[in-house]
Amino acid sequence: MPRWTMAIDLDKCLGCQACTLACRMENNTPIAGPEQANLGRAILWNEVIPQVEGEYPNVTARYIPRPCMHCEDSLCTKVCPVKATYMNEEGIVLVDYDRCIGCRFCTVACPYTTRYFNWHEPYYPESLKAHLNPDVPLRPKGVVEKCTFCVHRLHKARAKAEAEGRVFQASDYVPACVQTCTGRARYFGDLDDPTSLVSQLLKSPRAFHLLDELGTHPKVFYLREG
Amino acid sequence: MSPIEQVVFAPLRKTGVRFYLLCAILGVLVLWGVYAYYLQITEGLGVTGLGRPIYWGIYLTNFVFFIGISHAGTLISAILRVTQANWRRPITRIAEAVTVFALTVGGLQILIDMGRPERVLNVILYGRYQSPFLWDFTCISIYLMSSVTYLYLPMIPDFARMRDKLTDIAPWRKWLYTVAALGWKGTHEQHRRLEKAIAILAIAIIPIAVSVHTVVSWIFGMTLQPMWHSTIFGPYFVVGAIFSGIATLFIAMAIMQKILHLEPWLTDKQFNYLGLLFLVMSVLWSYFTFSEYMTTFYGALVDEMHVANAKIFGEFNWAFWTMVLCNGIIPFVVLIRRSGRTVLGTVIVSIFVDIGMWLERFTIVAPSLTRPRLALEWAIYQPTWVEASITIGSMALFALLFVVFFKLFPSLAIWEVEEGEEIEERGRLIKKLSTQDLRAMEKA
Amino acid sequence: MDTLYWLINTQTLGGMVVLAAFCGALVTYIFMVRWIAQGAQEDHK
Ligand code: SF4
Ligand code: SF4
Repeated sequence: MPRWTMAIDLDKCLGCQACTLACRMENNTPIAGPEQANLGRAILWNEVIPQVEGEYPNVTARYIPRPCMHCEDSLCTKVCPVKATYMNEEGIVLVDYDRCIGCRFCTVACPYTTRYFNWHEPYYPESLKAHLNPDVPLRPKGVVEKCTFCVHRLHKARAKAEAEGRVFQASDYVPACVQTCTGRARYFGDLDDPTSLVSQLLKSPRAFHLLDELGTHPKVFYLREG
Repeated sequence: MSPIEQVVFAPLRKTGVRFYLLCAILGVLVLWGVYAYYLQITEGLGVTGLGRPIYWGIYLTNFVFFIGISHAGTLISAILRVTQANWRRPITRIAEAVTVFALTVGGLQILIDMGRPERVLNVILYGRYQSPFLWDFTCISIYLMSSVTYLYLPMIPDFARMRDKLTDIAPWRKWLYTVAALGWKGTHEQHRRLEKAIAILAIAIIPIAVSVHTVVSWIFGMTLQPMWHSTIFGPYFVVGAIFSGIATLFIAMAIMQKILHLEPWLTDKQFNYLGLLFLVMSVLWSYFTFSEYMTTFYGALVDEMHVANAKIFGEFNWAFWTMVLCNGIIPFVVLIRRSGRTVLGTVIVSIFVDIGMWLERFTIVAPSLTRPRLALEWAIYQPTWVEASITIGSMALFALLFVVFFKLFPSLAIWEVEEGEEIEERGRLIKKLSTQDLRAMEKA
Repeated sequence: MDTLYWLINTQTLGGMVVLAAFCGALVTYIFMVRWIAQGAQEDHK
């Protein structure tokens, strides 16, 4: 079984947030509106966090695109009382929207705050309704959702490979953010395959994990600038 | 009827306008809370002030607070029964009732907080034990069962009395008392069994109660959030629980003493002794609080310091310092004196402590969430009227359950109090005898 | 270690524990109360 991993090269990231947008369109995340967004209710499975350090004129700014880390030792799956959030055999952490009781234990446990709650019935403007992605289920109100590494694309790629009578390859599957990234800063692949690009990149001295000290062993890693 | 029966049964036989008025007021508050909850159900949790990253707020605070209060009954009845403190007798019933109703209302808060309350049975159907929620469900359900039984057992002989002596009541109540008395005859064997069962339960309920607030604290302690991930939380929460439990008990005792004319039994002695325990709990609480913040500040981990600063100097400083004043300083200053451990003194302190303990729970739940490790900006939590209404409604529900309960059932464990009086009487006799004997011996 | 993890991670198993605790307590206390009630007959013998 592959272990899907994402690498994000901060040297190449422009901070354009195309990934955030692509993710929204791909995964049918509802529109919150400015008022609700101010209350922290915008749902952005992938968020680009600006980190500004230092004071004018000696300022350094960096952008950290932050999807779900799909931690190997994920705290969210640990605390979920009903196994509504779980890790599948390929290391992707998913949420079962039909089972989640909306206790939000996982959301407070995740140190990366990557999980989102549906505070209201999801809202889509008329103009958007025609463009909803049929592959991704809409979430009801009162449940938690987050980045899935576009797991529907994986299912589709598998089915396609099978239909075409060939062996499924890791390169057949790529999440929307990786496909869209303007600076080509994102890489995706199988960590269990030592020849894959992500496995090679992980050996780079620039590679690091967010909040490594917490022992969550994220499967998303970054390449430091410079 | 003996004098004690006359006084204790009086409110069960006659109901004044005041009772209906009180029930009506509380009922309206509860209904208002229900209306707010209805809005929350139909609109979603968006009607609250919660958001990302402050996913938990007032409801979780209420949950911890009410479950905390429910430790009153345990401490008073169980610990005092095990140590055979005779002065406990008139207050056990009230304490146990506080426990049962606080537990009911506390458990309700979890349901209120859930985004999908109709799926609550998933916890049984798909429950996985690694989640601290399951530990809570286990401990709280055992505790609820135990405390209901613990409330019920000492009531059996009282039920029998009501069945036999209350002739002027509605038939359904007569029926209720008859059924609940379980054909109690007051034989020697029955008394022996009852006392034994109560003794066993009194011992068993102490570890159960400790486990309850420990696992409640572990909901927070088991995560890695700054200032939640703390080993001190278990005992810290238990101490706070007993502390707030005694406070609520004092308020209930004082009100009932006045309204139900229980002055001959709820005497200064009870308020003095319990006041001493109260003082000990206050000091313990201060000690735990000090240790917690001392280690945080000395270690000065970046993420923890953000939270600690928010509490002590930042936007939560009003809650923090009010809490210190209410839980640490006021109780100490008042209760340290004998003149402070009176009805008036303890009640005033208790009101402060209940406010302080609620704020304590609040400053544990909210600040850590406003300072997540990774975020665009720090969040601000502003509860809405829905949360406030549900909170007030919950408190009213607690009071309503309490009031109705004591309209139907006696406020003292009559037989236990009588037993205590007998023991005292005998003690006095023995003392008298021995002094007479001594004199006789001296003469001889 | 693996068995332990399986025990705590398997769905429904935890729910069964809660149910068992609840029912266990309930049954115990029902028996306790019954035992007390039966004390009335005991003296006649
Ligand atoms: S980043 Fe958060 S939501 Fe994602 S797997 Fe880790 S703990 Fe879970
Ligand atoms: S909110 Fe849903 S996914 Fe998260 S812990 Fe609760 S039940 Fe599990």
